[in-house]
Amino acid sequence: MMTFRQLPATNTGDHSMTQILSATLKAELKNSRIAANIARSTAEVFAEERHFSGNVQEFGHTFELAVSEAFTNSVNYRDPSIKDITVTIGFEEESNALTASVTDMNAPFNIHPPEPEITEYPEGGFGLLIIWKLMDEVSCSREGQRNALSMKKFISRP
Amino acid sequence: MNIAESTINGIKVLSLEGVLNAASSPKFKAYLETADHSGPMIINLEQVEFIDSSGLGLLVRLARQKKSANEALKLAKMNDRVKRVFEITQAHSLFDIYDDIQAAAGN
Amino acid sequence: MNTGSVQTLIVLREEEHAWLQDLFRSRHPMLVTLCNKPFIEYLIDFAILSGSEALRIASDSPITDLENYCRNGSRWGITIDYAHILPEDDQERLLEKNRQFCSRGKTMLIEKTLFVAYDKKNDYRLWLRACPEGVAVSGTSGSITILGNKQENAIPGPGPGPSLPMLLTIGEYYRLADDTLKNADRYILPGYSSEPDCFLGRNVVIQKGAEIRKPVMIGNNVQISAGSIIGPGAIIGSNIIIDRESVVSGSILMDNTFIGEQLEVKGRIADGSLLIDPESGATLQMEDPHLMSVIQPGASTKQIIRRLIHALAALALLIVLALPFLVLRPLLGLRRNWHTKKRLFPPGATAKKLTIEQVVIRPEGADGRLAIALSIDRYPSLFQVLGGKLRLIGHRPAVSSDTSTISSGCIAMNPAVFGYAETEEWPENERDELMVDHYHLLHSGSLNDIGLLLKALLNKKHM
Repeated sequence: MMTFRQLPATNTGDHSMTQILSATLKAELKNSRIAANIARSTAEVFAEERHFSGNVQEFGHTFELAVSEAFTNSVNYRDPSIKDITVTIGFEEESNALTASVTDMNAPFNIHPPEPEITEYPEGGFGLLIIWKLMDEVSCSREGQRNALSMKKFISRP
Repeated sequence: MNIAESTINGIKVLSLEGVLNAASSPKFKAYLETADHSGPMIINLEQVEFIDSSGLGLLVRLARQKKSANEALKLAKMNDRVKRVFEITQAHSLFDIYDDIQAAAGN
Repeated sequence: MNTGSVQTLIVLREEEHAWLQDLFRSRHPMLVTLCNKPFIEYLIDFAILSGSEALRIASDSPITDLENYCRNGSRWGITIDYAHILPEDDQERLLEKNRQFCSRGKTMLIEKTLFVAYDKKNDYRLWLRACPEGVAVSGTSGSITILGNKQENAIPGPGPGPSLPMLLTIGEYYRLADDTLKNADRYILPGYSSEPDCFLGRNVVIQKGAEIRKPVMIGNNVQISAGSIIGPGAIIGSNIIIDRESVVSGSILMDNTFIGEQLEVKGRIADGSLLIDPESGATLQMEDPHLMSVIQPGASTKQIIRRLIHALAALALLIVLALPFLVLRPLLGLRRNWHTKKRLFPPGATAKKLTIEQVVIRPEGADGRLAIALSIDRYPSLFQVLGGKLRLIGHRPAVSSDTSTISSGCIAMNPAVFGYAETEEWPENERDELMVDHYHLLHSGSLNDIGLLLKALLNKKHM
C-alpha cells in the first residue's frame, strides 16, 4: 500500500538545513521500482519548475538511480527474520536543491564503505559508490530505530 | 525483464529488455545458470531502460566468468542511461563496448 | 548505409597526453586552454569547418569533466556523443566498436591530437572532399585519417590542408600559444577584439596607470591594478587579479590565478599556485593557493579606526533596517522561512574558534524576496559587529559548506557579515571568493569598506 501525506516541517532542534523546508512528501513502499519511478518523476518536475539549465532527464535519472540503490541497500541489509520490508522514501525541496531520503528500520550502517576495486571484477559494493558519485551531499541520520539516508543534489550553486 | 536469444555469425546474442535491478536480476542470473552459455557472447543493451548496481554486478560476474574461460563477452548498443552507470563505476574498462551488433559479431 | 554525411571521431588515450595531465592535474588535457580556449574547442571548430555534422569522443579513460563541458554539442551546433574503448584497442578494433557511427558517411578520424592548426578562411569541406581514403595528415603530434571516401576521382586538395604542430612538451605548448596569439586571425578566439593583437573579455577592469602592451589577450573577470604592465605577449585567463605594480610579459596566466603586488612574471606559465618555466620545464609550487603575498596585520591604530567605522556603519544599518526587520521577521517565522545555521570559524582550526550563526532565507514569496533584497538575513549578525567579533565587510564564510576546502591558514582574519566577494558578479566558488576577499583585505581602507559595503548591498547576485 502506498500512502502520501503532506507533513509540516519538523523542528528537530538542530541547525541543519532540513529545517528550511516547508513541505515534504513521504511514501511508504515495498517495491523499489515504484520508489525509483516516483523519484525520477519528482526530480524531473522539480527541475522543470526551477527552470533547470542542465539536462532534466539526467537529473531525473540521478534520483531514480540513487533511490533504487538506497532501496536495494535497505532490502539487502534488513533483519533476516523480516520477510516483507517497508521503506519510506521522502523528498524535500529547497529553492536550489532536491533531497531524497530513504528510511528503514535496519541496523546502522557505514555510509563510507571502501570503494570496490574495479580491476578485480567486483560483483557488489557499487550501490553506495553510485550514490556518492551522483549526489552532492549524502548523510545518514539515526532517529530512534530508524536509519534515514539523505541524498541531496543542487540544481544551481547555493 | 525479457531476455531474447539469437545467433549472429555463430555467436550467441542475448538481447535484454526492460529493467535490470535487484528485483529482476535473479531472473537473469537463473537464466545464465540453467543453460549452457559457453562460447563467445554479445549482450545487446539497446532496450534496457534502467540498470542499477544489481544488474551491473551480474554483468561484471559474467565478464569475469568469460575472462577466466578465455571467451569473448561484448556489450553492444548501450544507451545513455546504461552508459552512465558504467561510467560512474568505471565498469566500462572491463568490457568491449560496440555501437553495432554486426560489428561486435565480427561481420 | 552511406548517406554522404561527414562525421568526426576523436580518439583519446590517457597515456598520449600524460605530460599535460602531469602539469595541470585539475583538468582533462583537452580542457587545458591555449589562448583561453580549451584544446577540444579547436578540434570541434575544425570538425565543423570540414563539414562534420556529428562528433564522437572515444576514450579509454574517464572523461566526465570533458563530457560535462561539451555535453551534447548544441553550443556549437554539432551533435557530440561519447564512447568507450580499451587501452589495448588498435585502430581496426576501435573502428569496429564505432561502426554504426562511422557508417553514416565519410569519417574523419583524429588520433593522438591535442591541436589542429587551421585557418578559418580556408574551405576544409573542399579539402576533405578531395582527400582520398587513408592518412591525410600525420606527424609526431597526431594524425588525421579519412575513412569511407570512395570517390574514384579524388584529386589533391585545392588549398592547404590543416597541420599538426609539434606539441609534446610544455615548451612547445608555450611557443604554440605565442604563435596562436600572433596568428589570431586564423582562429576563432574568445574575447572582443577592436584592434589587431588585442583581445579583451567581459568585466575587465584596468586601473589608471596600468599599461597594456600588444599582443595581448585578457579573459573574463580580470582586474589589473595600478602601475602594472601587461604584455607584450601576455595571455591572461579568466578570474584573475593582478595586483599593483606587477609585470606580466611573455607569460601565460591560467584561469583563477592571483598575482600579488610587485611581482615580475616574465616568460612563465602560472596556474593558481603553480609557476612553470616553459623552457626548462621546471615547476615551482607555492604554499598559498595563489601567487600572492601574505596579509600583514595593519598598524594597530588603523585597525582600531577601521573597527570603529565598521561598528558605526553596522549601527546605522541596525537603525535603518529595524522597521523592516520587525515586520518581516515574524512573517518569515510564520511561513517557516527563517532558518539559522551555526558553524565554527575558521573551519579545520583547533584553537580560537568563533561560533557564527548565519540565517538562511529562501527567495520565495514577496516577503522572502524583500527580506533578501534588504539583507534582513544579516540583521542579527550586525550586533556581533558592534561587539567587535565580526567585521561588517570582509571574508564571509560560505553558508553552504561546513567543511571548507580552502586551507584556513590564508584567511587569518575575522569573518564578516558581508563578503567582499559579494561586490562582484563573477566568483563561482570558494576559491574565487577568497581571491576577491584577499585582494580587498590587502588594499581596502576604512572608507573603501563603506563603498564596498554599499556595492555588496546593491549587488544583483547577492539579492
